[in-house]
Amino acid sequence: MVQKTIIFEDSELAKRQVLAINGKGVDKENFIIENLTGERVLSPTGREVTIHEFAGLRNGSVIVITDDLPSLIEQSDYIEK
Amino acid sequence: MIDFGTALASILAKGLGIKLEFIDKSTGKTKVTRKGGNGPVIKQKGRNNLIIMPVVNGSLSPETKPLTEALNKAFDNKGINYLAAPAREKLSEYHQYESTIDRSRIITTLSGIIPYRHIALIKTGLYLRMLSDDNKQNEVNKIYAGLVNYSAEERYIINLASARHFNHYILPTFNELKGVNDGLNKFLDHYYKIVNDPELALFVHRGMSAENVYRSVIEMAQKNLKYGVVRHKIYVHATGISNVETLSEAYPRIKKIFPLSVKKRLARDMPNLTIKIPYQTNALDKQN
Repeated sequence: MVQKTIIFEDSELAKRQVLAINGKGVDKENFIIENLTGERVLSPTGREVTIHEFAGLRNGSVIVITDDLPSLIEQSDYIEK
Repeated sequence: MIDFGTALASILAKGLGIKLEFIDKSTGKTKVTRKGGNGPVIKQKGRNNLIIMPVVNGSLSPETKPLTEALNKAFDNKGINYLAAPAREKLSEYHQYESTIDRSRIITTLSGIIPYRHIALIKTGLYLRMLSDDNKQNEVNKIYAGLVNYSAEERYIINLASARHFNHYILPTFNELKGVNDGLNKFLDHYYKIVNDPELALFVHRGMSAENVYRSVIEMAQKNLKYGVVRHKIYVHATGISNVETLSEAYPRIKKIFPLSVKKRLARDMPNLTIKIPYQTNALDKQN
């Protein structure tokens, strides 16, 4: 199902703000974590995700999107064109 | 029913000091609906209620909580997607090609048969091929730069698609096997052998010398012969000036051992060289 999509600018600040809005943060090694547990989040391919490769969130923050093309293509069915 | 954008505007306007801009659906022009504050700027564009939110003014502080609540209310807690502007741009560029990317019906045929993840890799490879054919080398390089964390298998699937092996080898194999008894399982068996044990094609990269290329071809041929692979063909692909030079340097030595069929494409910005090696079982006797 296609859901509403918010586009944010490409800056670390904007990324941190989007993460904060969704209960997530960044650890000392720049990996994205769940604020509540400190656990590092995983991309759909099972990789830990750094803030640098973070490109968005899907499905109410559950799925972390990375900025490589195959991952974006994989998520594109759910994102408005 | 209240328009989505209007609902969001009214919620965000309440005490958040947020400037909202909407793009008028009929004219496409930006319409500022409320001014004030230094907080995030939110734009609505087009029919799909797409919101562009360049987050400007820094701190994560007091705005964050009300913004979360406002967004959740506005979206009725149905789940929102967030996407960075460059990622959105990459996808838009990809979507321009998407309708023409599957002329050979690779995606439509293999969807639901091979893993979902592979489909995205194949789409990427087919897209890279189209960009290469259009001499868009910068875009190709940018996409490859984003694949640094990918496994060798994942990159191999992308490269196989980019080198048209899905068009010329894997899809025809599927079409051939689909009519025979237990054809689907036979195809999948064959498919996984190809993507997990990449002895079909060698992709020259910057870390390889001519000696590496030559040795790799010999090793691939030896392995294929050892396991009785009936294909008896190896493809060597080089894309880009330095890779083509490396393969050209290895070429005379390879030719001494194997009868070669060479396909050379010299695009303006994208030199591209492919060698097809239909080796014979006794070819390796000539190895020096």
